[in-house]
Amino acid sequence: MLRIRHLFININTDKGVFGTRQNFADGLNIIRAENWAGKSQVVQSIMYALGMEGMQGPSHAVPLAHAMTDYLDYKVDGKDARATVIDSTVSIEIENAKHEFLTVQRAIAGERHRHLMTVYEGRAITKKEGLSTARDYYVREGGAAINELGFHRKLKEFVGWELPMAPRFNDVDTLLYLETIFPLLYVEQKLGWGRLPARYPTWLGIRDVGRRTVEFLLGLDAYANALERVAVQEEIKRLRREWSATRSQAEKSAAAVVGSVRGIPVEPVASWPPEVLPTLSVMQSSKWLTIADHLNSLRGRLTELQSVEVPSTVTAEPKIRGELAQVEDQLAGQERSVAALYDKFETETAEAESLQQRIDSINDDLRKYKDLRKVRNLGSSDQPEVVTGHCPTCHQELADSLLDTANKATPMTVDQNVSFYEEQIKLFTAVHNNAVHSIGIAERDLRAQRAEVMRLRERIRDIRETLVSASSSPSIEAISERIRLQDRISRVESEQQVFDEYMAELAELASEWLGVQERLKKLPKGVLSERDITKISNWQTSFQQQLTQYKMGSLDVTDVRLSLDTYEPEAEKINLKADVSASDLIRLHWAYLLGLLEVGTQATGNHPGLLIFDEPQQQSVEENAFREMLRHALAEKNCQIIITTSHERESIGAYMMSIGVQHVAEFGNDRILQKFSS
Amino acid sequence: MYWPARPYRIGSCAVRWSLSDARREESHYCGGSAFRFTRRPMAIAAELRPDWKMGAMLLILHLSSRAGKSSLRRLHILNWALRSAKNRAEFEQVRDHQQPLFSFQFRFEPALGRAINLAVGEQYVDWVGGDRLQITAKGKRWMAEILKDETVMQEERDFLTRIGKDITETIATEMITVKAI
Repeated sequence: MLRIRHLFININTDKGVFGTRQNFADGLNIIRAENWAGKSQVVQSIMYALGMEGMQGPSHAVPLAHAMTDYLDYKVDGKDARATVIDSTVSIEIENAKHEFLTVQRAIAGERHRHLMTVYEGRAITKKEGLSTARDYYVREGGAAINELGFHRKLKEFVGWELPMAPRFNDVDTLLYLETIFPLLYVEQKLGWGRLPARYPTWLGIRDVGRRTVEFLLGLDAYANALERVAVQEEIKRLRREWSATRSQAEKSAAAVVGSVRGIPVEPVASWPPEVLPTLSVMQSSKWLTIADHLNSLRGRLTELQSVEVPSTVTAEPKIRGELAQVEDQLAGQERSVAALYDKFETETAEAESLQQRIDSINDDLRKYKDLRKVRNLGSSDQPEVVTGHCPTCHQELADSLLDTANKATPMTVDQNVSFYEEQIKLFTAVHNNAVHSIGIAERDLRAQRAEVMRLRERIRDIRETLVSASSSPSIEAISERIRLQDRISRVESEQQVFDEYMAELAELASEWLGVQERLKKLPKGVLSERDITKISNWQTSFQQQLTQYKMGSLDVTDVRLSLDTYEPEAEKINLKADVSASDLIRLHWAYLLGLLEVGTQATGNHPGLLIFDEPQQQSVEENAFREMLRHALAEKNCQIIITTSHERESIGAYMMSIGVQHVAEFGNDRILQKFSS
Repeated sequence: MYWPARPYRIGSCAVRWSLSDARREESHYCGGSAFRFTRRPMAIAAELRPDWKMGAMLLILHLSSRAGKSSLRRLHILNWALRSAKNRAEFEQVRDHQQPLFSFQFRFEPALGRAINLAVGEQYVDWVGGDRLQITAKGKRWMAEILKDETVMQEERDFLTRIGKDITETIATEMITVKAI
């Protein structure tokens, strides 16, 4: 909620101090004065005090009249006089839903920088509250809506708004600027009435600005849904990223025990564990065993060894002599298979490389063809004749190719050629992926086989060392086998632990994935929720009732609806802007904004309940319509409506008296800016 | 003579029985019955399209030749340099004196000869002084049309802009002469 409570304009001139003080109450406030009296300056300076002049364009010029910036005409003893402005400020007191007050002061003319606002936490003008809390904020500079010292951030927090992000043209998303919201709260006299539904600023580059602001003021779920959709997509992206990171980490860590991980789905899954359990397997005697089996067999062997004493060299000799030959055979076999695997690996790598080259060259050719297609589509009059299939000199048929003309082969057309290449790229990419995959497998097998070779070599060395050592010493081979086994067991155990941790992490990600999928499902298919549609239809009801009340003449009222797409008034088969009389456009404008206020101030809306009409009686709208509008505005609850008018004093005064308007500022024939009595 | 009722493919080659498209068919006698082959349109490299090659040649004349004029041998060298990313990189090494002049291995591309003949026919280029080609007003107009869209032939354009007009006739002659040794 936002209420203007007090306005204080202070102008120091060489002829004394001028200015005005105005109080504003809840409900309808009327400022009546003659055309030249400065009504517009009053409301315009309210906007200026809120730092909202950006809603009328990117200009940094002060949007106020010369009376506040340069010189001021006044009457002294019935004679015209002129005073020169030395400096001037505007201050306002505003109130929010928590009945907190804020006083804002901004310089209009003088030394002080116009982008600075002094803010007091309290009613500094009328009650001298919070004078010690003065703090300077800034507006109309980068970050005014975001930074802690940005006034629009302060204002937004004061009103209690949580501004949504809005997409921009060619730029990153931004907060929905306050300047885009205020055109629905304040209709400026000179240009504001010319654009239905509002004169949104375009220089801020926000896309669909009209829709975004209406959605915000009405608190439509459409907005929340749009945000939720973005959030869900971000979440999906994040989960995908983390999933694939975890997956590749699990695979990498398996390399520590020369193992291989299989069965982790490439894409995140919602149910964990998957039907085929991911396994970590390790190569043992040229076979892949799961890590648990591997560990069991290692442990079995270790217990077996530990149950007997370490033999001495002499007792072990006959057994290990036999084993030596056996292990050497094994080693030879293993080395052969490593060599074979290596060959395979090399061939596959070469194939993948040549495929990649092929893909690259097709891609380059494809690019050339696409360029060529653009050139041919230019349809330039200077285009070569040969592309039409004729020789430029003799006009006989000529193939669309520079190949030897003796060759009768017909070339494909450019389009055929492009789709031919696209197919080729698809095919080769698939083959290439296949090759890369089998390179991966060959690499893994190669690693495992090489580790096996290492193991066998170590074993052979141990046995040989044992055979040449002193006969009474303990068998080196037996001891080192134990040590190696223990070492291997501890490494495999810790790897298993690491692997289990990764699996737990994946399980966690899977449950998050499930959650995000459910959120995705809950999002409505369309843009609007049912609650949204109710709100818009309430708004439309009020809108149409008012139009009847204001006696719109050009169209049947029931034909004018509010679009569920743009939230703007529309009539079937009719261009509202062209087919409606100017005075009816003004009626539409009143009804639109008052209806928005009505619906937007209800529980879930964000409308601050403030509406300012500067001289709404435009385009010679009939007296009766204007009166009806005032009556309707008077009946609005929970709001503050400020209307200025230069309507003839007697009749409107009597009418307002009769309907019970309490807050009327009547200036008669006086100017609003007057000399303060010293 | 026996004709099958429907066309069908023989093996996996792009040859099939066909009763239609008489213009492109050739008859071969094989075991007493006539096989009829239909030539399928053939995919060719974009480099072999007349307008691509003419366009590339005009780009060379337009961006990398003094007064839009060049000798045939110089055109051949630059044409080869322009053909692929690999050639472009090799050529730039030579130009920057990181490699000797003769290390740039180029070929005389027959397609360029045909493109030149066509371009003369299209009046994009003229022979001047009997041994030089010069871009004509029409050629310049067509180039201007193409250059309007900045994405068209971008890599070629970037390359030629980088090269500028540095490669003079003298350098071109040197490259060829060294080659002849």
